[in-house]
Amino acid sequence: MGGRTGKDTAEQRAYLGYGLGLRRDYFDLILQQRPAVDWFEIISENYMVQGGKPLYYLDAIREHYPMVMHGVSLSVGGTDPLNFTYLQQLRELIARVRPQWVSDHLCWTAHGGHNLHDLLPLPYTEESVRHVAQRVRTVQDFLGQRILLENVSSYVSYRQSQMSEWEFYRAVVEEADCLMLLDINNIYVSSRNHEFDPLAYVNGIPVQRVQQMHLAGHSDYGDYVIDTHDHPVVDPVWQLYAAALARFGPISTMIERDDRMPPFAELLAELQQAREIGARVLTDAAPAGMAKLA
Amino acid sequence: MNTLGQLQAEFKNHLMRRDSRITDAIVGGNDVGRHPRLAIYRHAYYARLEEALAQDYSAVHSLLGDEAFSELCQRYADTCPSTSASLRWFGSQMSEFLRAHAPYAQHPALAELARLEWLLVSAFDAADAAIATVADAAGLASEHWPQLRIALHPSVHWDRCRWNILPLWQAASAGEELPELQPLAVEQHYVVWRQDLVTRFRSLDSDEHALLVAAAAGETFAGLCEHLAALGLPAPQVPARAAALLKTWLSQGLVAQLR
Repeated sequence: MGGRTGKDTAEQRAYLGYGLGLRRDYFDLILQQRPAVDWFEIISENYMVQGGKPLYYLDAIREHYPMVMHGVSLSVGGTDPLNFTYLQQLRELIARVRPQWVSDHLCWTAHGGHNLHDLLPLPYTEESVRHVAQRVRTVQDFLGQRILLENVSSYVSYRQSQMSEWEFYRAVVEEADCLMLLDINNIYVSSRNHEFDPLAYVNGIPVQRVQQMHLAGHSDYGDYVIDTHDHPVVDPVWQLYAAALARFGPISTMIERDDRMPPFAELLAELQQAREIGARVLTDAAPAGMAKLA
Repeated sequence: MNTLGQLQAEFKNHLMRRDSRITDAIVGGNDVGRHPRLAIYRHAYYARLEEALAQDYSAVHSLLGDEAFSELCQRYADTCPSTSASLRWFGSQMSEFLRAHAPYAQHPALAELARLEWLLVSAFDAADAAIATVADAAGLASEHWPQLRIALHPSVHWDRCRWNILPLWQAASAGEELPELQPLAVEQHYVVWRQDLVTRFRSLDSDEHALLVAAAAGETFAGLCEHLAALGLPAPQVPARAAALLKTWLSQGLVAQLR
């Protein structure tokens, strides 16, 4: 594959429809029942193993569904050197899965050789923008394709931040020339934790960069909200999703569920809710890019 | 102002060592005693690591109970922090940790049980390989047998125990009441492997263990027979015993290739 430029808009915006995170609780059910899910997203690290059940189910399910890959350990905002052993494993998994695209998070996850296994927030500074963008470009060159970066939920703000989260997000993806995986729940969670207007966030996102969206549930403690992926999507997040679709047009969307796993039918019903919102908004809405929200 | 690297070092030191310097960099962070926000990250750090260990070490968890297991996880995390991109590898030093640190070291069965559980984790996602069958062996010409070598499946691992950890693991796995920990009269060898995607283990007689080790080291079938004879088996019984063990290994999926 070539460089980062020269891909036309249509390719960047390949539309997969409505998907779910692939979780092992549902491996057998998916193979036996072939549920009406348009695509699955895998957590890349879960399949960086040599064999056995994970790769068996990965290959078997891939035969029937499009897939995208979602990583949690790139640490693209970290200051340790990029982990090329990890990147090589990622490249090998890409060759196996042939995903529609590959994503990770706009955050840092490791420092001083220790992996903290959490999506930790960056200060929103010019220094961070330059640092992250340069690392994203290195990763994209190594993988031979553009990646998507996802916004994370956060619970603290740094004194040294010089801009809003969405200004930072936008600056990074534009300087790195990468794409965006917009997590609608994370926008909502962070808007509650940091008291900003989630619509201002959505309206600050460049329309042509958004390739995928995440929906998920969270835990609401009143004064703050934690991104736990263990509950159904809540109404304010559905409303924000509708607003995002109105701004961005049809965007491949999936629901993440990682804990307190419900019967699969419940996830399908939740996905149906996303489809119905999509059908309503995208029928009524002005063409993509003509946001009604501004 | 902190550089990005300094900021991340301070954040990490807060997660791993409760160092409070990061609070100066956080909006409202000086209020951290009452402010739950940084605590969310510290709690999540340990919770995620404990969840990974609970998955890998469910029998150790059953044996210790929730509170003691949680304390073990925290101590393990502080001593052996994760250095891998995947949590899959985080628990790799648990058996050694238990063997080396009080109060766990006083109960050697804990380290033995953790070793068994880690071998099960290792077998679960070990490399795939084709399986040689009894029919493959039956099809070999008799002149090939003396020089025959046995390549074991990549998921095959073995170890030994001096405590009754095998029935203990089975009881824990079935959610049954755990048997009392007992030292064994003689040490017990066991083998762990994966058959048809399912991880398995079973005990090994001492001659079977010796042959498995020799086979893995590349010994020929004739050499395996010599091992059996050296172990004291009467010569007329040696070929039948060697053939019976090989047949068992083949039927249970322990053998990847006969060559």
